[in-house]
Amino acid sequence: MRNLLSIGFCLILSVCMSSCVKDIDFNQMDDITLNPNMDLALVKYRINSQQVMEAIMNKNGKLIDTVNLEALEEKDFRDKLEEARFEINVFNSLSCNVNYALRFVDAKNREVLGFTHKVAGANQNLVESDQNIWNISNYDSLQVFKRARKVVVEFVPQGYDTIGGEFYFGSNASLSLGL
Amino acid sequence: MMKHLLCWLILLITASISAQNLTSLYDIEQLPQTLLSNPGASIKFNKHIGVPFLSGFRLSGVSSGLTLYDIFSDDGEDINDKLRDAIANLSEDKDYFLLKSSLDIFNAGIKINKTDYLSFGMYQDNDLFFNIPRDVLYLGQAGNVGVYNEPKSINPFKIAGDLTTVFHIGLNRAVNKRLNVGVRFKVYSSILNIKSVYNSGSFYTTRDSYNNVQNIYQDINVLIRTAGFEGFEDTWQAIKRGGDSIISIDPDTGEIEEVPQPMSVSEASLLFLDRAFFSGNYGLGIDAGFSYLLNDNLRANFSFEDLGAVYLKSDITNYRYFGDYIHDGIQVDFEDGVNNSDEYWDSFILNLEDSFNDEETYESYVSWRPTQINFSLKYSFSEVVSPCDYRVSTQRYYKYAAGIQFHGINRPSNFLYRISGFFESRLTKNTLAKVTYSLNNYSYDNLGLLLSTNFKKFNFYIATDNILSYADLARANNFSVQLGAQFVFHDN
Repeated sequence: MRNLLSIGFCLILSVCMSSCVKDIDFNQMDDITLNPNMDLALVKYRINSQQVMEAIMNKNGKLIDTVNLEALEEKDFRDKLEEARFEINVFNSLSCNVNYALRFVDAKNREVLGFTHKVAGANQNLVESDQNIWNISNYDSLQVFKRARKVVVEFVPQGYDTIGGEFYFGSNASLSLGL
Repeated sequence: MMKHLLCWLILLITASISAQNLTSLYDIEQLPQTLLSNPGASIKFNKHIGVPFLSGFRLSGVSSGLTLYDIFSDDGEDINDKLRDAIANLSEDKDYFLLKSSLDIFNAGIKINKTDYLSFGMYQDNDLFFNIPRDVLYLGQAGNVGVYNEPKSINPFKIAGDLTTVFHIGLNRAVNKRLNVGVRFKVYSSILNIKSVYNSGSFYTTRDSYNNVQNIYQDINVLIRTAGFEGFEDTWQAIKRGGDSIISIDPDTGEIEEVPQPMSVSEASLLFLDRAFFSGNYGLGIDAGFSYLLNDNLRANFSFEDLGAVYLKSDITNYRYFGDYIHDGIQVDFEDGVNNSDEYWDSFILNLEDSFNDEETYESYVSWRPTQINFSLKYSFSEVVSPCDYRVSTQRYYKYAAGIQFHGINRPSNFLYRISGFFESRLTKNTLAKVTYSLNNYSYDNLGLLLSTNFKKFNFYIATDNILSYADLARANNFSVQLGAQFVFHDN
C-alpha cells in the first residue's frame, strides 16, 4: 500500500510540476497591432440664399472660416495616425453653382493639403448632391498632412440664388490609428 | 502602450491563477480545512495547528471565454486575426475572468469540551472578478467602424476586487450523534478594494440624413469606487525607498548624491502587516452550516460562507462618468472669417465637458463579500473496524464514499455554480483519496483530485481541479491547486 501511496503522490505532484503550455508562442505578442478605425464628423455648415447674397455683396463673393484642430498639435496623436480618409457630402438646393473647398493649413496658415470641388445649382427644385472621398495612406502624403493644424472651409457661390434654397456641407474623417 | 495594456489584459484573463474553494476539500472529516467551507462539518480530530504560512495555500483561475491557446497558438495564423476572432467569440455580457488566491497565515483549533470544537486563524484573501466587456474590447481593437447602428451597451463592464486580511473564529458543535452545527465569525480588514458594478449606457455610430457621421453616447453612467490605493502606493513607495540611502557620485557631473534604497524584507513585512491590520476599512462576516447523518451511511451537509460586507471609509476615491453626448461635427458660422479658429475648438471642448461629466468623490461605501453556498450528499459504504482485537478500542470508518456536491458563488454578473460527483477512498487508515467530476458554467470535463495523508500527527494534503488541463494549461479555461501542511491530533 505504501508503494501505491508513493505512486499516488508522485503522480499528482508530477502532474502539477510537469504542467506546461504547448504549441504556444508568446513572441507573437510583438506582432500585435491594434488599428482601431475611428469615424467621426469633422466640420459642417449650412448656407441659405440670404447668406449667399451677403457673401456676394459684402464678403468678396465668398464665405471663409477656419477651425483649429488641436488634436493634430498632439505629437502622440500624430505619431499614431497611420491613415486618414476624408469624405465630403454636399447638398445644393440653391439655383447657383457653388465652389466649395476644404483646406488643411499649418500653424502659419500655409496650405498643406486642399480639396476644391464644384456642385451644380439646383434645377426645378431638384437638389444637387455631391460626394468626394480622399484617402491619405502613403507615407509622404501622411507626413505632409501631419503638419496641418487648422482646417479652412470656403464657400464660393457662382452667381445669385433666385429660388431660395440652401447649401449643406458636411465632412467626415476616418482615422486609422496604430496603437 | 495600449497594445501592451491589451496584451497584459489578455494574459491576465487567460493565464490567471487563483483560489476558489476546491470541491474536493468539502466534507472531509479528517481535514481541518473542511471547517473553513462548512463550520458545522462532522470532524474527526480534536486539535490542529497549521504550519504558519503553509497550512493552506490556494491558487485557482478562471477565464470563461478565452484561453491562451486562442490567442497565442503557434499555428502560423496572424495573431491579429486570432485576436479579432477571440474577441468576436466572446459573449456580449457573460464572459468573465476570476483571479482569486488565499494564503493561511495561521490556523489552529482545539476541542474545548466533549461537543465543541473551537477553531481560529487569519488568512490573506485576494479576489478579483472582471466581466469582460466584449464591445469595449472591440472598440479598442477595431474602432467604431463596426458599431454602425448597433448600440453597444457598457452595462456588462463590471469589476470587483478586494485584497483583504481575514481574522476568523468558529465554533463547531456536535449536537448529537447525527447533527453537527457550526458558525464562524469573520473580521475583514480590506487593504485594497475596487468596485464598479452598476454601470449603464450605450454607444454607437450612425449617419444622419446628410450622411454625416454621428457618434452617440447615451445615458452613460459609470461609477468606479476605490479604497486603499493611495495608502497602498505610499506603502509601496516607502518599501522601495525607505531603506538606508547610499552615497553615489554622478559620473557625469561629479556631484555626490544620496540614492534611496529599498527597505529590508523584515521592515517591509512589518509595514505591510501594519497595513493589513490597520487599513481603516473593516467589515464583518459570518459562515454557518450543518452536517446531518440521515442514516448510518448517508450524510447531508449544507453551509454558506462569507455572508458579510466591508464598510469602506478610509482612503476612498470614487470616479464617476455620466451624461449624454452626440458628436456630429463642428458647426461653422462664417461670422469672423479666419480669425476665430480657436473659438470653435474651445466651444467643442466646452460642449463635450458640459454634456459628458466626470467627478471625483470621496464618500464611503459598502462592499459585499462574494457569498458562497455549499451542499453535499455523501453515501459511505464498506465499513472497516480496526484493529480487530477486542482488547483495544476500535476505530470504525468507511472505506469508500460517493456522492454529489453543489457549490455556488454570488458574483456581480451572475451566480456561478458547480455541480460535482465524487468518489472517496481510504487507501489506508491515514490516507484518503478523492476524485471529483464537476460541471460548471464554462466546463464539462473538470476532473479533480485530492490526496491527504498523515505521517503520525503531521498531515499533508494536495488537491487540484481540472487535472486534465495540466497537460496543456494553454487550452484550459480554469485550474486550481490547493495544498497545505499541519499537525492534526485525533482522538485515538
